[in-house]
Amino acid sequence: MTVQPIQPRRSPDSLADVLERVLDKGVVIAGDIVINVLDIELLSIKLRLFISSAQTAKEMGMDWWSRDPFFTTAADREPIDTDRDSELESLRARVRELEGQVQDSGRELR
Amino acid sequence: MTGAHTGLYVYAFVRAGRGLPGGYTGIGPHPAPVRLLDRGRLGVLVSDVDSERLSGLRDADVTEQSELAVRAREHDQVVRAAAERGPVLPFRFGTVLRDDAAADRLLAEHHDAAMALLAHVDGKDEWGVRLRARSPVGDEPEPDRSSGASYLASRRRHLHDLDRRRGRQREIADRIQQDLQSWAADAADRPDRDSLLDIAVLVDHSAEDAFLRHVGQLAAQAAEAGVLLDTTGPWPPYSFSHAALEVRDG
Repeated sequence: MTVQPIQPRRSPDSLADVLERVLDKGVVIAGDIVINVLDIELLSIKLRLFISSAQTAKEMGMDWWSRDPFFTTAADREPIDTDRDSELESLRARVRELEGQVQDSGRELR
Repeated sequence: MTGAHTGLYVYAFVRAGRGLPGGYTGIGPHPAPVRLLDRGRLGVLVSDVDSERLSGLRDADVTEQSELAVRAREHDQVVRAAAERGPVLPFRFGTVLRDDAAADRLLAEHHDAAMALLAHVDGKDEWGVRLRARSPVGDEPEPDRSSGASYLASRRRHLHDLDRRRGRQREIADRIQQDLQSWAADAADRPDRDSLLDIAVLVDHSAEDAFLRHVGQLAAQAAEAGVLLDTTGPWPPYSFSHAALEVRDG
């Protein structure tokens, strides 16, 4: 299989990419020569939230559930209701017809 | 800068003598010049910093305009400027030493280990490669609504197709991961963020063009399976500067 190479998307270094590297990576120094100024773990948690919320909003759009039939019946309700109405109507008609027949045959028997 | 809260912000290990030209300033709202401290063949880039001010970042929110974002980019700028002049080993953001004497102890105690790591990353850049499945929203065929049973059957077919597609995408992600690992000088798996693959590879400068052509091929193969391939870079070797160094007084 030969495929035409495509230019990979060179996204500009996003804030998330920069933060992922400077907060999560790099040489760590332990010991009493260090003044502990930053709670990196807390910042990392905030970073994860920032990334996932940005990602989710971008991927899904904010109203994705309104387009998924599993999560909404709004789109379905109308056609189903129409079907149901016409089905009911034809059943009613059939009942009237049968009732009429029953009454007619009852009259004959009497 | 003098005061009760002065500390020494450290950016990166570099080789001795590879300081930044004058005029480069470091991190903070009132940045001090970036200085080089040497010992033997090893150097470290530092600047004086108000540690109290920096510790306030703990409560910062993560947004594009937040102070955390500004400081992180300042840190990155210094590391990148240094990377243009030779190999660097960046420190974790927010690392502040007590004073110059503490930096000297650091240089002395980890001289050989840091020199070996610098040699490992010399002449190489980090590249990020990320694979994400294209969102299936919008691809869904109109379900068959002619009856309840046919509707459920078409839903089941659709979910089955999604499953198969996920399997194919997983396969291609694994293949690309192996390919990149065999190709690069070094590779580091990065924490997953809803992606099929998030990997950092260390690539020699001389192989950069060939690497990017190769990644272009991989991107085309991935696209056929509905997978988007993103690259970022070149980066200083952040993901390849994993070292925990301990230094105690006395």
